[in-house]
Amino acid sequence: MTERWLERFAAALRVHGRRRRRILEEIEAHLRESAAAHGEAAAVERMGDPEAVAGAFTPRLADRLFEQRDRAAACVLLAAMAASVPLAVDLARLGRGAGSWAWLGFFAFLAPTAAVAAVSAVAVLARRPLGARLARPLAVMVAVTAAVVVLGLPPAGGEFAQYRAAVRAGHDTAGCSGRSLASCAEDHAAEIRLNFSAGALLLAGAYLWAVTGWTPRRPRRLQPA
Amino acid sequence: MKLSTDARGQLDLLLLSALAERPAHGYRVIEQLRDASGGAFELPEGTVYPALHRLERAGLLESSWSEGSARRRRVYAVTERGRGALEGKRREWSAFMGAMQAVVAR
Repeated sequence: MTERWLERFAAALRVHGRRRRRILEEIEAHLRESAAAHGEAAAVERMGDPEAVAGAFTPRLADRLFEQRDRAAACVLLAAMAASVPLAVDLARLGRGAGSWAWLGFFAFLAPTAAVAAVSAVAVLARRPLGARLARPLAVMVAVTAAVVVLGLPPAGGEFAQYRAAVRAGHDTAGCSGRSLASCAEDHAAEIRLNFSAGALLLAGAYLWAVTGWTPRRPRRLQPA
Repeated sequence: MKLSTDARGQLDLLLLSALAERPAHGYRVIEQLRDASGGAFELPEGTVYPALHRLERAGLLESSWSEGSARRRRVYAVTERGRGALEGKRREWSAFMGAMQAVVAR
């Protein structure tokens, strides 16, 4: 009888993810305890209609949106990666034009982070636990990548030196009017390095929070009555 | 003063009052309310958990799993914000009771 009640409750419960698991476990614990004290029939009767109880858990629109924040973050992550493709194409074009292969080394350096990001986001969209498990390594990888890029360490340093040389040579000079090409090259390179690194860090942090619910403060353990 | 006499407001007041004494899991809260009211409050048990979750989302309760017994239980406690809300609800309830008394006992 308890099993049947729980089945009907689970079928009617329109809540997903971690919260759903918590509700199911909590309600089952209650029913088992109540059944042990009063018998199964009384426990089920006292609990009420399973569909009505499940309906009372259905969150309002704002709550539903909040609960979908992991998928929203995965979409934003994939969109940000797609939006950075034109920049990557530009860097590759400039590198090939200058006969340099620095861009290839830089892209090989970025590839594992991009791959982990893509796999995590797709897994989150498919509600696979792998997505959340990859979020923390992804944040670390993004932090390391951002540090390498901002500090100009290899292979990012070589790529941005090649990029500055290409701008100084007259390639990709949009927005350079009224300034020397050397100064413009420095500005463009700095803009790409800093803006993209800061953006990637912010995005990875927000993604980590949205997907895992991770926050620095650990919840306090409560003592039951 | 606008008085709240809706069922949800009363359930919130009962739950916050019960949990203000000490943290407890849902089943214990229901028993506590039944005992404290001399059996008058036989709450439909299915209404208690959605209310506990709603109060937690509102920041009035906090909860964590207790591993003490054979079965894990979710233990709830009133937050600081919840204690403030409870004080407000108690004042509101007292005002309502006073107003009712003034009319009914006339």
